Amino acid sequence: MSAIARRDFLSHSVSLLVIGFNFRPLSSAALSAQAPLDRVPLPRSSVVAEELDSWLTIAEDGKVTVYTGRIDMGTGVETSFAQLVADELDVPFQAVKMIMGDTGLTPDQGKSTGSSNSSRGAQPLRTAAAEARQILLKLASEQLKTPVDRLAVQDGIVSVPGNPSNKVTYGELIRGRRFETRLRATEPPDGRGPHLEGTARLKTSNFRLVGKSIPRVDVLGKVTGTFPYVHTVRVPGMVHGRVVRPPAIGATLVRVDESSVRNIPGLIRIVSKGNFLGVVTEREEQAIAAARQLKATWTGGSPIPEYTEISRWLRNAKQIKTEITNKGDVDAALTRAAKVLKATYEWPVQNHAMIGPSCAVADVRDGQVTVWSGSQWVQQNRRDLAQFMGVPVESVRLIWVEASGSYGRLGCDDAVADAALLSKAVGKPVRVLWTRQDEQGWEPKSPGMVMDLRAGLETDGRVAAFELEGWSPSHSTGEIGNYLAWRLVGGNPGWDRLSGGTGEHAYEFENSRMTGHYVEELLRAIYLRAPGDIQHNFAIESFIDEMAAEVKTDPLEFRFRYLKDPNTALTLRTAAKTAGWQAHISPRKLEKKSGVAMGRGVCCSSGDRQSACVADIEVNLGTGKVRVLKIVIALTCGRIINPDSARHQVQGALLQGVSRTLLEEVKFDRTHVTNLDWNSYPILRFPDVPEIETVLIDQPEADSTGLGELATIPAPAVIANAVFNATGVRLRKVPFTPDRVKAALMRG
Amino acid sequence: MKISLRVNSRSHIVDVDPRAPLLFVLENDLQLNGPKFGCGMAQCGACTVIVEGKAIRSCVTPVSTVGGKEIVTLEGLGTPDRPHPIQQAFIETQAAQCGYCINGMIMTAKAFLDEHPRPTDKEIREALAGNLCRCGTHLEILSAIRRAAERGWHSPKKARQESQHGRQA
Repeated sequence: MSAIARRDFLSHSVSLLVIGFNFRPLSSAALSAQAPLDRVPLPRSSVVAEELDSWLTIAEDGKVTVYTGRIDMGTGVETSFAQLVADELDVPFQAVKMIMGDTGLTPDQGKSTGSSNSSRGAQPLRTAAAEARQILLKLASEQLKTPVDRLAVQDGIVSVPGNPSNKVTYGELIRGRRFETRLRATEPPDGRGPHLEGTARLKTSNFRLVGKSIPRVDVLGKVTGTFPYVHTVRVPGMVHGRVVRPPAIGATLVRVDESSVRNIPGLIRIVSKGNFLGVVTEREEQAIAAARQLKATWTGGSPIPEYTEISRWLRNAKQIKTEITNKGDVDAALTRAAKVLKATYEWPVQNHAMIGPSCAVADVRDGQVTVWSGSQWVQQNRRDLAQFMGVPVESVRLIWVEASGSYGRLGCDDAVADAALLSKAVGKPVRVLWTRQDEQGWEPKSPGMVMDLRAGLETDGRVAAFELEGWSPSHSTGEIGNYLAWRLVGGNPGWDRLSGGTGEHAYEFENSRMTGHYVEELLRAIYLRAPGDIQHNFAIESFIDEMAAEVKTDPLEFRFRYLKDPNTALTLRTAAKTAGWQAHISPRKLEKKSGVAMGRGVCCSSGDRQSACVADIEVNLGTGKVRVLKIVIALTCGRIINPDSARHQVQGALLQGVSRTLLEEVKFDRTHVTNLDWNSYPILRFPDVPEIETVLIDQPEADSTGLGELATIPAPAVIANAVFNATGVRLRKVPFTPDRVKAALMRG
Repeated sequence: MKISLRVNSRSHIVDVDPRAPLLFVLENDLQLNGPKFGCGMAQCGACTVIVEGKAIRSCVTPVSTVGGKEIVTLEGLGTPDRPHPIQQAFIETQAAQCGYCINGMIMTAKAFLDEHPRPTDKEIREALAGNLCRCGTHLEILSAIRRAAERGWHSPKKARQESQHGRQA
């Protein structure tokens, strides 16, 4: 067991407490797979964006440590960041170690959301690396007495070509000292962290590592049970906490009967504050038993509609803001049109459905708050926690440790607030792990949406007008000031940022209007992958398909008539060619065998990046079950950093989209969420997983882009269009459960 | 109550409530990180360990029911320096995103392949039907298991078959 070297801020040599982790760069503070954590690195004195030293340090042995405020949710970002930095610096991949998310060690880079890690997240790291390389070359030039433009760099060694003995390593040049160099940092007001500018230019070609499928650094640990998750953090003296949930959302805690858990061994304390009620015990199973057994009296609650009434509720809910994008005069065109098509599309409330529930360890003692968390927005969670606990921000340290994939949910890491409250009450470190019922019942959710679409068609089949009007709560209110514990205790400030309620389409119509009504919150909400985009794309791409069928045109050809963006057209052509698309008029209603209809659908998505899908499905006409057999997906990705990792991301996101389309709907009665386990809120299982063929369209001249959301967007529409192709029936309400499909088939 | 456990070929004595779920004893008393809590209801498979050759869900298994039996967890299967062939297959196919479900995938698949060394794709999918993955790593996981099946390893069933035929193992 190696001891921590005390942080020497002049020399910047860092040793972290490492036990059994010599095979991968550590991504966070000292963690052990085998023994409890007993020390964390001291916080750095300065982590401001303008200082090059805040971002990277180089030790005498050439090891490069990179500090980033972004975090890895299991999408391979730790690896791709290391590829990008190693390429800018010209050092070996193995020489780069990432420190991620610890608020005591890393610069504030805002939230790891919006698929922005590869672009906004990586930009400062690349800039710092390029600047460092430039400085090192200048130092080398002095030492080797050779002009910079006559030097070569490889694997962290600067040499003079033709004179092999005249060389020096990065480590020898910098000797663990600080760079003492300032860069220019600007902060776009989007919560995504700073943009950094130096004097060195970033690489645009000649990449050694970028573009290669470097094996991810975390897979070995994950596959052998040695990888540190926030769920495996163990702190000396740590005890266990669980929260008791009210029977209704917004209920008031009236009375707690402490005697009801008198017989629970290991009980340390019952903690109640406002409507927050929790238990702390020595052992984990004792906390679960105590939470289950504790008797409490609650009254009242905030009524909500039943989930079956959600669309009606959305249309009539209090409106906060309406945003309209208008072109031409849709109303006039619709009045003149030979035919008007109308359709309403509905999307339910959905869960992020993390496999590993929200989990945090908090140690609140002597006015200091230290928390281990899988948060996606470490600095905001830190600020929130400070405000919640009534302490200065400087007293709070949030140490990021990888959680299970959260897809947006851990923008609001509820376990952090629960654990901090309980730790403060008992004066010991407390670990809180949400139960499955806690997650399904109480996680901040992806809001529901209803959309009305209309199109005006001329006699020659031309689309004269297109309109979408939608109603939805904001998808981002949960990201600040909304810990569940804060709401229960009272006084949570909340957050009013509006997002996800408006959409765009990829088409050129003479008259077009997109209207988004933001309404008040229904259930506590936070963004789930592709917030607003997946819902809007479902409606738009289904409706485009409805129009194509109306004018008896091949769905692909119909799209090309109106598609303005050449990149979207490229992805469509690529997907169609790969899938062997044959022009036809939908529906075809091909029956493979008695009672099973087969269909093929197409759809595309536009925006910063573009995708297109062709899906082959079959529908059991008796049971209503939709099976997706195969999906071909083509996407533009900018410069691909790690092709294998990119492909896996795409496939994963697409499968998540298939799951949401076929299976997922949060159900609630007038008081609380009612589907609280995996049977009642199912997600896709192995027998139903389709084949996927992925075509990544590399665009080396363009910036890299994240793929975690792009590939999820087209899933619902491509399936809906394929079902129409197979049966002539339009599914306009997600999820496409067998009951819904059967009912639609019977209606004809 | 004192219960003796055999985990990854080592003996332990733990003093716990006999009804305590095996998962929590493995994690909290033995500091093992392989099995994970996902649901506590045997619906997701994240907590899977192998007891006497069978994959079981440790979140619903009282610790007293496995006293004295051979328990294998993910870290007992293989190490970073010497991974088990099935772990090696997962590494080669890069079959992990967040990786939280991977313990369950590997342990379930290992027990399954020990009994069915030459499965069809359909049989693999059925065998893993009780293991959930939210990141959508299913295709890579299937690819890893197929690769592991093709390569094989010395399994109890194979040893039984070969001794029946009088062949050398």
